[in-house]
Amino acid sequence: MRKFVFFLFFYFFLFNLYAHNLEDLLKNPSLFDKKVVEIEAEVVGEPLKEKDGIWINVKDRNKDIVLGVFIKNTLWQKRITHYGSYKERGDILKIKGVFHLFCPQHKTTDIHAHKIEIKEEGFLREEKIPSFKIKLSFILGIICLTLALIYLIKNRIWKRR
Amino acid sequence: MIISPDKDDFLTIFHILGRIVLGLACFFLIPLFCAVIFKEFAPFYDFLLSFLISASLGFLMILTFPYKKEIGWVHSFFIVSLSWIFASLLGALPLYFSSHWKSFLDAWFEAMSGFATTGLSLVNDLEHLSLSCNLWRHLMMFIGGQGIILAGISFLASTRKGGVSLYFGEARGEKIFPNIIATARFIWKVSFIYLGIGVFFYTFILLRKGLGWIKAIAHAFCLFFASFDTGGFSPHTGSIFYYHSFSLEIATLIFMILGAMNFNLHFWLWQKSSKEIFKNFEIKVFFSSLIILTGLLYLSLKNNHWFLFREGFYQLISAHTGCGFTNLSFYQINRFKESTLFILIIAMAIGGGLCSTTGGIKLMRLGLIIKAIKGEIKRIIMPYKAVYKDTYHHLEDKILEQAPVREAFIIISLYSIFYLLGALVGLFYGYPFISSLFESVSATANVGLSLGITHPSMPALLKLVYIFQMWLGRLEFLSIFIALGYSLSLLRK
Repeated sequence: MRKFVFFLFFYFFLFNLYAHNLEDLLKNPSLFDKKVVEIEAEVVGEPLKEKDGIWINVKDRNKDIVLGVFIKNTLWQKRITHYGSYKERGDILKIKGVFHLFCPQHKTTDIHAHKIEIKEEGFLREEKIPSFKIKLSFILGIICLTLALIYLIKNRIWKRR
Repeated sequence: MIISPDKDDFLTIFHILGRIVLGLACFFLIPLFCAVIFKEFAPFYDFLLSFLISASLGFLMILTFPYKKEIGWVHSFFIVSLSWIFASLLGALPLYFSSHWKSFLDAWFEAMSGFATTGLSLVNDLEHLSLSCNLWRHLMMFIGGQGIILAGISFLASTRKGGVSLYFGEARGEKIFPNIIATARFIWKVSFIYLGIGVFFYTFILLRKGLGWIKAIAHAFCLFFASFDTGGFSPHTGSIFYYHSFSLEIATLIFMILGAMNFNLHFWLWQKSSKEIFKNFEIKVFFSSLIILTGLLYLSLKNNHWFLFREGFYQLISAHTGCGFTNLSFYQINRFKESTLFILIIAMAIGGGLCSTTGGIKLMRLGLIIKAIKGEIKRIIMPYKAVYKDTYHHLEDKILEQAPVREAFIIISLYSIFYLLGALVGLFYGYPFISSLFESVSATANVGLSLGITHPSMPALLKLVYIFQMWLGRLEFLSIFIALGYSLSLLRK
């Protein structure tokens, strides 16, 4: 029994490492190379087509770190409704899959997803336009027009001379 | 005797600068219009404010400072140097208003990086940046790559008289036509034709990848501006790595190389002889250095051929052409061995062709120095009375003269000094030497590859140093040094 527990423990640490975020994963990539990892990150951009699957890009929740996740066609379900962009906060996904520092199939760093779960649904981001910007635009518009008029009048007088 | 400026000189300089500022203000209308199409209303006001501030400043300068003198060489260097400062400060306005940059200094850094076609970025949360603001980041590279002054020469009639000096002041070593307006217009024509071709191919690739029409076209424009103008910004955090597309990597490689080619060579290939490509000195130097550096890279990486391309060759071309695109994650680049980084530093330091959008020492100068050294050795070996003359082919057969070699030597020395000075500042802040040198060369040669020093949290002084390096590198020192000398002569009065 003790041997079995030791084996399980050994197996878990050797082949399955759980990085909680992309920063941890990519700070020590060789530690996680070819191992099963589980991360939580925001899906950004759009799904990108590949021969036998789909690429999605996920962004760390706190840092500007992005990594590609390859999802096989058989696993791909169009459940992701929000992709992070200017207008949307993307869905927060929990992704379990194999991390490759140099993927033999795609010749890049990626995760081949086994399981994808939507942890938090994304939402539409509200655009906030500060009222001072609108007022300032109006004032500057008048100043700019006045200066343009002076310039035109001055230019005409100068040309007549 | 040093020519000392008087009041009229400065009035003329600021009058012309006012016109350039007014011209730049018009460029804000492009992202402003895009913001309307993309229904991005907050950025719309950011661009409207930036347009109004710039246009008002332009009118104010034209009205306050009358045009008093004909533009001479010294005026031109002053105008060129200051126009890049004005452009970057005004170009930073919409970036700062967007709140994606921590401070105005960060926004200024980004704008200078854009106009100087460097590609080093201090943006926060790029994935949630508006499409119109992203387009502006890339448009700055197109304006800067073509040359702020070049736009002025092409469109502003009053600068025609001093056009030649303004043109050369902007670090363009050669004219294509005897007439400077024709030269400027040819450069625009070439760029717009490539723009059409580039946007078509990029859109096609991106549509096949699954992007929607509007986004595919917007990204195609961004990628073209970044690749042909060897800028290196990207609409997404992961640069080219984001797209997971081999065909896009190939397409960007082609446009990077086209952008790094001398515009004179484009003219020759289009309108005179296509055989020039096989004889041209710059092309020969480019391929020689590329073969040598690829060989060294192969020894350094010791991976299989695929990884050599994906890991090394793409980065090498990106570094050599001064673009700064990467198909690797930031952490992969950071894991490169010091020998690999050193090869990339050499490629970045060399740069592309004269009269192109790349920075760095430039192929022609490197070739001339190598030829001069070879010539010197031959001269020593040959009999005492023998006369030795070396030639090279650049559009026509030329004899290797003393003057261009001396000029090349001065420029190479200046670049080397500033590469090292920037690295020393990095060292002073506690960064490793190789990373500091990499970042310093990347900034001065207007490349944009980074080992992570360039980050919003980096020291403010280092940001200022890199801004200065990008500015110096883009204008190839001379304009700025002359402008500084011109200003200092005022103190002597």
